[in-house]
Amino acid sequence: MPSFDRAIPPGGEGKITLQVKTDGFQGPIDKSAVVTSNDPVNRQITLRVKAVVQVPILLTPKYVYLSGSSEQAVTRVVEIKAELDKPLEITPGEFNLEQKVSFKVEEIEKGRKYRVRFESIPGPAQTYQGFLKIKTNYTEKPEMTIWIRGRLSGGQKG
Amino acid sequence: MRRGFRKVLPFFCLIGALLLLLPCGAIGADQPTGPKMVMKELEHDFKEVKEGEVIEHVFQVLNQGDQVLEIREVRPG
Repeated sequence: MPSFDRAIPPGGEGKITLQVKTDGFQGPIDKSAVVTSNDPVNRQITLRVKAVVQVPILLTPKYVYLSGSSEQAVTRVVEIKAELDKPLEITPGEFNLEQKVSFKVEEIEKGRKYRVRFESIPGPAQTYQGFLKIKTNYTEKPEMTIWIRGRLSGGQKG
Repeated sequence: MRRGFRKVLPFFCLIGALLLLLPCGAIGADQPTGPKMVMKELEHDFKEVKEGEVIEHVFQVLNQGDQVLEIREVRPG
């Protein structure tokens, strides 16, 4: 979200302000903005802002994409890792893909690391989008959403 | 006669050189070069930030030209 001085007199100084909302990001981010002016030599320049967004709980990956044959179960795994120095407890919350996807939560490292295994339920070819909400004991992040997308195609008939 | 000419030759050369330089200076002074955008920095690293924070950085722009610099657009990539 940029804001800037539109006209700068000869010998003068102006400002270009870049703003980044880090909500929903985790890890390194690199954002750029292209500035266009009436400078006859350098009409365009690129400005960049970088940061490393720290989160209380790391989700890897942040999204689940189930793709493949609709006749077979497709599996994807999401890892949930505590980034704060206190035990993490999680419980599954709202889930809106019950007829299409199943999931299982496993504790990998007590109070530190969990794994959620998603599996597509074999059936007709279909595409869908949904989520699983995870409730946590962290006041910094009481709830997380794992977004799930499915694109399952029918079997080949020969 | 020749000695006299040798004595004044450097003087004529100097006058000639000045006459050659004069129009160049005049051209430079009359023709505007236009606006010139100079950024103090092109990149800023916030290092570590907490999720949910709104981070903001002000980039300084200098106009080192001789006409008004117009910033027409800043398009996030």
